[in-house]
Amino acid sequence: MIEYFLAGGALRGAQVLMDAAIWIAFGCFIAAIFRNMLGHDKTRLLFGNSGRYGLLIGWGIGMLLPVCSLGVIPVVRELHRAGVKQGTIIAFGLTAPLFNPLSVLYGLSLSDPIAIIVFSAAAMLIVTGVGAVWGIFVSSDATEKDDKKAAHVVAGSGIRRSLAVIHGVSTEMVSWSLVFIAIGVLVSAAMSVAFEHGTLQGETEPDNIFAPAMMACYVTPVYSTPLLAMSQIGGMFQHGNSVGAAFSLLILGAGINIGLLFWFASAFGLKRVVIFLCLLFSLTLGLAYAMDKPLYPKGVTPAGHTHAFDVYTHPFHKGQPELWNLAKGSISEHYKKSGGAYGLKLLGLLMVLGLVFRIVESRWDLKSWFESQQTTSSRLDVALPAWVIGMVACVGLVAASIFGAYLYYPAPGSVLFDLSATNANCVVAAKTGDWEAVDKLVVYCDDLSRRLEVGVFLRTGTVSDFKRAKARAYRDKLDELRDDIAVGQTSRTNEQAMELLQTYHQMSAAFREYKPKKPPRNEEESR
Amino acid sequence: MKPKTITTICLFATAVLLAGCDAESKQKSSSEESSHSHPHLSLHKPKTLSAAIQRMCQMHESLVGTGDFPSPIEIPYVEVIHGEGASGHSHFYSKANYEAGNAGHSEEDEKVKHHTMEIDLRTEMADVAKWLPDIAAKSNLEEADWNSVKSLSGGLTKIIEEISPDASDASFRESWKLKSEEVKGMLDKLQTFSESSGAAK
Repeated sequence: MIEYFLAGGALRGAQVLMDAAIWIAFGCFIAAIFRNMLGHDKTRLLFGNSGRYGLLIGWGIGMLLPVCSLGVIPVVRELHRAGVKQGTIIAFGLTAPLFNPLSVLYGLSLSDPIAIIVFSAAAMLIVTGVGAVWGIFVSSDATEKDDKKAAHVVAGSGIRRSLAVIHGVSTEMVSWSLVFIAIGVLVSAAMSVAFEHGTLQGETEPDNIFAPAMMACYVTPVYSTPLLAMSQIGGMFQHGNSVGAAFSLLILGAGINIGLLFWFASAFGLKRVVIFLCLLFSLTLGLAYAMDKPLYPKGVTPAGHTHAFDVYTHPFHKGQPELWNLAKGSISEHYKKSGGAYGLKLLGLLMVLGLVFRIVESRWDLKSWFESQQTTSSRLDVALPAWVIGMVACVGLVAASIFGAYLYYPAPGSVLFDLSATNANCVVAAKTGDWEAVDKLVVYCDDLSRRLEVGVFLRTGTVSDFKRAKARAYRDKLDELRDDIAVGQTSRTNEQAMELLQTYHQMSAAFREYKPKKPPRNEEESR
Repeated sequence: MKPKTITTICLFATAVLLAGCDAESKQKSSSEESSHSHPHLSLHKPKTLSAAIQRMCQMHESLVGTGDFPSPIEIPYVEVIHGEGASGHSHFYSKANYEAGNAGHSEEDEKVKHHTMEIDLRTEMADVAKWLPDIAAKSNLEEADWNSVKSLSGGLTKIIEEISPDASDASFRESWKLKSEEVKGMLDKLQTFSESSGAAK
C-alpha cells in the first residue's frame, strides 16, 4: 500500500514539475526584469499604483505574460517587494496563470469562442471584484506602509545590468519562492494520489448540480497549467460536461494552488487569505452556476463519463504490480514527450547559478557593484535607461510567447506527419491486442488532433465546421476504442481499428484540403 | 469594516449558495428517479448516414400516413459498471452491440445490468435530425455535400422545434402535415447524399 501511494505521488509530482518548469523559469525571469530593470518606482507606475485602474492593469498584464500558478509566485513576491497595491497583486496573481496567448488560442479554437470570451469577462469580473474588495476593506493600512518604502536602486548599465538580471533570475530559484513552489507541487501530488484512478470520470455530467462546487473544491489544491486546463475545457465542451464545472476548473484549477495561497498567507496574514478564499469561491461558484445552463453547447449528447481528469487522480489502479517500474517508465516517457526536459534543465542550471551567486555574495558585495554606473568610452555607446530595456524585455516576452504559439501549434502538414505515425502505431497496437499501448497512444492522438485545429485557427483565423466535425469524428472513434477496451469489449477491436484508420484518413484529407482527382466525365469530349 | 465581519459575510454567502444548490439538486434527483434512470443515452443513433436518412424517411411516412400515431420503440441495452468505489462509472451499449463486442466472454466477472429504454417518435426524430452532421462527418462526403447535409439538418431541426413540445401527438401530427411538402423536399435532397456517402461507419 505504501508503494501504491509513494510511486503514484512520485509520478504525479514529477509530471507537475516537468509541466511547470518552463513557466517557473519565465516567472523568475519576469521578476528579475521588474527588480533590476524597471525598479520599484517604475514597477509601481506600470501597475497604476497612483491611479484608479490598477486592477484593470493587473488583469491586462496578467493576460499577456506567460506564467502558470507556480510561475507567478516569484512575480507576485517581487510586486509585493516593490510596494504594488495588494489588490493589484491579487488581480495579477489570479489572472496571469489563467490566460496567456497560447491558452487563449487553444480555448478559442476548441471550445465555443463565445464561451471563452464569456469566461474571460467573468474572470475579469472575479479578479477585479476580489481585488476591489481587498483594496477597500482589507489592505488600506498595508498599502500606506508600502508607499513609504525606501527608494530602490536599479542595476547600472552594460554588463553589470545583464549580470544583475542573471543574478536575479538564478537567486530567485534558491529563495523562498522555491519553498512555496515545492509546497504547491507536493500538495498537488498528494491530492492526486488521495483519490483512486478515474474518480472524477462521472462527476462533471451536466445533470450533476454539484459538479461546479465539487470541481471547485477538488481542483483548488491541484496544479494545472493554463494549456492543460484549456484543453480540458475544450474536452468538456466536446463531451457535453457541465459548463459551470469547466469554469470552476479554469479559475480555481489553473488560477491558484496551495503554494500560492501559502505565499498569500505569509505576505498578508492567514485571516486575510481566508477572506480572499471565501470571496473567490463565492464569486466563482455564483458565476459558474449562473452560466452553467445558458452556455451549454447545443447539439451535444453527454458522453456519460470523461477521461479528461484522470491526470488529477491516482495514476495507478490498486493491486497493479511493479509500481516503481511503472512510475519510472511513465516519468521517462513524460520527460521525452512533454518537452519538460528543456524547462527542467533550465531550472537546474538556474539553481546551480543561484547557489554560486549566494556563495560569492557571502564574500563580496555584488549588489553595490551591480548598482554602480559604468563609464562609457564612446559617444556611440549610448547607455539606455534600465526601464526602457525592461519594457522592451517584457514586450519581447509577450512576442516570444506568440512566437511560441506557432511552435507549439505547428502547420497542419507538420502535425499530420506526427499524427499519421502515432495513429498508425495506435491501430497496430489495437490489432495486436496491446491494450496498454492503445491507452497511451489514444491520449497522444487526441492531443495532436486538437493541436491540428488550433494550428489552422492560428494561421487562417478560422476553422471550418467541416474540419471541426472531421476532427470530432476522429476523437469520437478514439474514445470509443479506448472505452470498449477498458470494459473488455474487445471482440470488435479489429474492426474498430480499421474504422479509426479510415476516419483518420478522412480528417487528414479535410485538413490537407486534398481533393481526390476525378476522371473527366467524357475524355473524348475534352479532347 | 473589520476582517472578522467580512469573513462572517463571506462564509454566510457561501453557505447560502451551497444550500440553494442542494435544494435544487434534491428536487431534480427525485424527478429523475420517476422518469428515466439514464436520460441521455444515444443508443438510437444510426451508425451510417444512409441509415439515418432512411430512418428519418420512415418516421416522416408514418407521421403523414393515416395509421395510429407510432408508439415508442423499445431498445434493450446493457450497463457495464467499470471500476469500483469512487472510481466506478457506467458504460452503456445496445444489447446487440454488447453481445457482438463481448463474443466469447462470460459476464460472470463483470458488473453487467440489463435495461430497456423507450424512445418516442418525436424525441427520436429531433435527435436523428440533430445528429445528421456528426454522422455525415464519419462518411466520405466532401465538404460542399457535408455543408448541405448540415444545412438540411438545421432546417429539419427548426421545423421540429417550431412545434410546441407541449403539443399533443395529434396536434404534432397536424402541424407536421402542414410542413410535409417542405420536409419531403429536404428528405429527397438528403437521399441524394445517401449514395455518395460511401461506406460510412
